[in-house]
Amino acid sequence: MRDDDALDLSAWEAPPPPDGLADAVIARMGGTAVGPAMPAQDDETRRRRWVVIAASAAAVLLVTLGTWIIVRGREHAPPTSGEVVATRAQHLELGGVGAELDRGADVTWRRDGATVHVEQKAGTAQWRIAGDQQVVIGAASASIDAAGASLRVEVPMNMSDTRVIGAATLTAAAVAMVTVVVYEGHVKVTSGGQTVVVQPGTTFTVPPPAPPPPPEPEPPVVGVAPVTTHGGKQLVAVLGLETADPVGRDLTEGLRARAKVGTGPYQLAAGSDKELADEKILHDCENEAPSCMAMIGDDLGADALIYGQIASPRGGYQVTLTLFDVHKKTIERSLTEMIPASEAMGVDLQRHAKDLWIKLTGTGSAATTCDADALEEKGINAESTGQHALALGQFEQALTCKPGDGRLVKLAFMSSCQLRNLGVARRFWRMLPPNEKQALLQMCIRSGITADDLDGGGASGG
Amino acid sequence: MQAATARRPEGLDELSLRRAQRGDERAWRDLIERYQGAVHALVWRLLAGRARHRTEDLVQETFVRVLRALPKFDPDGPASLSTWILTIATRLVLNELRRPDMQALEHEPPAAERADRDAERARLGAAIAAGVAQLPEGQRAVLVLREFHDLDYAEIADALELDVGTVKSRLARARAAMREYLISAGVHHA
Repeated sequence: MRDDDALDLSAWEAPPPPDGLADAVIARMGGTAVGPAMPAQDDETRRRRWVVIAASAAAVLLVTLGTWIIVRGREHAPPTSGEVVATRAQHLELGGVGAELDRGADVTWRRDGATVHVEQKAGTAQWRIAGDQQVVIGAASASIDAAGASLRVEVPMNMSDTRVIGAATLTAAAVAMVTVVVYEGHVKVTSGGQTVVVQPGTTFTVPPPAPPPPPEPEPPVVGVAPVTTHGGKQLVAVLGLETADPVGRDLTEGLRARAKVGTGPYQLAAGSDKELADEKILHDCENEAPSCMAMIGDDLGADALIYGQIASPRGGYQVTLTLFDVHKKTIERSLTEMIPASEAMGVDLQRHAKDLWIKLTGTGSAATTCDADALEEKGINAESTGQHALALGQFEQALTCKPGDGRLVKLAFMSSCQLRNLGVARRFWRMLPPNEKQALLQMCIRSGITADDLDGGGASGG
Repeated sequence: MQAATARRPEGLDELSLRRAQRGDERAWRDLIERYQGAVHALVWRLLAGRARHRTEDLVQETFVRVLRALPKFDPDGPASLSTWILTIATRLVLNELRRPDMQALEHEPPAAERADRDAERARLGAAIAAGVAQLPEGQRAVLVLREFHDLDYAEIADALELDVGTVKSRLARARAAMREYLISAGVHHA
């Protein structure tokens, strides 16, 4: 809206803000309680703070400059392609394109002139793209095209998926929804043949791709699912445990992996891998009151919620978990367990995740004599460390507990290909659903086994 | 365009705002980086481009106050986050300008730094800076918020704790004074 007597004063342009403003402000906020209190500061205090900040900045500048000089001596331009899996929050600089990667972000990139092609396989990254640069980000089923923009892309994926995808090409069902938050600039998101221009200040969510058609027809799932729509199983959302410790994230992923296996009465609700803290914020929940949790569950299309907290007293982690019935608005079960610090990582932590899952959902009792889940878990762990024969053995043993299980057949097929065991690979190849063969074939091709080998009736190995 | 983004940035998404209100450092950073251009431009103009070191000090102080008061900000309230932040910046600068040691600013020449590509535009920019600098504080604030940051009369009235009629009259006087100044400087093509 302009006024009739408005002047054209556009020639009076303001200079840009100083670099490092956010750092300076956050440094000043450090150690102060966030709240409405605004203690008065005299000039001397401010001056001292400025001196400290300036001295710190100068030190950082000197170190950075030194590092830059050393690095520049080795390389004059950012690499044109590469891959990074962030083991902690880190910055990625691609010349005119920068990204702040969260821990766990898995990104590959290739520069082609002024365009950078990125594949963001997992995790969260905040991208900043200069005006003369273009970035095309492939994230799950979406393609994000951005120029002169600032945006955040979130591709949640659990650990189990990451491992499986690392070993094969099982992508479609494994990837959760993609969230794109645009801060500024021009951003287009294409998914399912449709392109949407996402305006600055808005968030766009790309739903997960539709699963491949099942071998046997099932009634379609439309909208928010009521109770039991996945083969008689209830859909469960496992909300990220409330803790700042990475153990919380890993344990959450472990629980989601159990839900995704789907051997008990629950199956993971698609796109439900949200954080408890975020969901409470978005639903104005001060605590986990049943009415609030039911609202969260409804919005996630879940019949049940699993959520909880982790405290870290000396020597370990105290985990509190709750299983909540969204429709009854009642807590079905809750438990508190202690995980020793020495067991709070890797396979040990996943074993705890499984134990907690079984205790919480009551899925363990029927599987004591033949535990397909445990065998599958061992197989996946073995596969992830390159022990293909051991993995194949675990999957085959698991199949004796659950004959013909589709997921186990795929895993066994992939392991047999990795092992270059054509005979076994052929056996599982014949058991695969026809519509999934092509995707899974890639694994065998990389091992030198072709479709003709698998289809042929000639000599068989192993 | 820098000028365009500095006028009135798009709002922060809801989740980032809620996170920032809860003290999430990453969300704080998002907020600062989104609004720093507009806040810096506003403070710089309210100081008429003078006292660069004070500008940066006041921008920083603005964001410290914003972050401290953020838990009380109501996203469903009458003011947008952008207007609320610009209001805090405006009041902070006007308070500073009333300090005795800031009175000396009135005798400083406006900033001469320019990034313009052609001399004509540079000359016009310098003349506008000088014209704004000679406006009384009250008129300058109204003019800057209206002309450079697109606040409407009611928002300016709230920010400066004035009634809308006063905002309109100050704006009219400021524009008239600017027009007269620019004509006398030989750069205004009325």
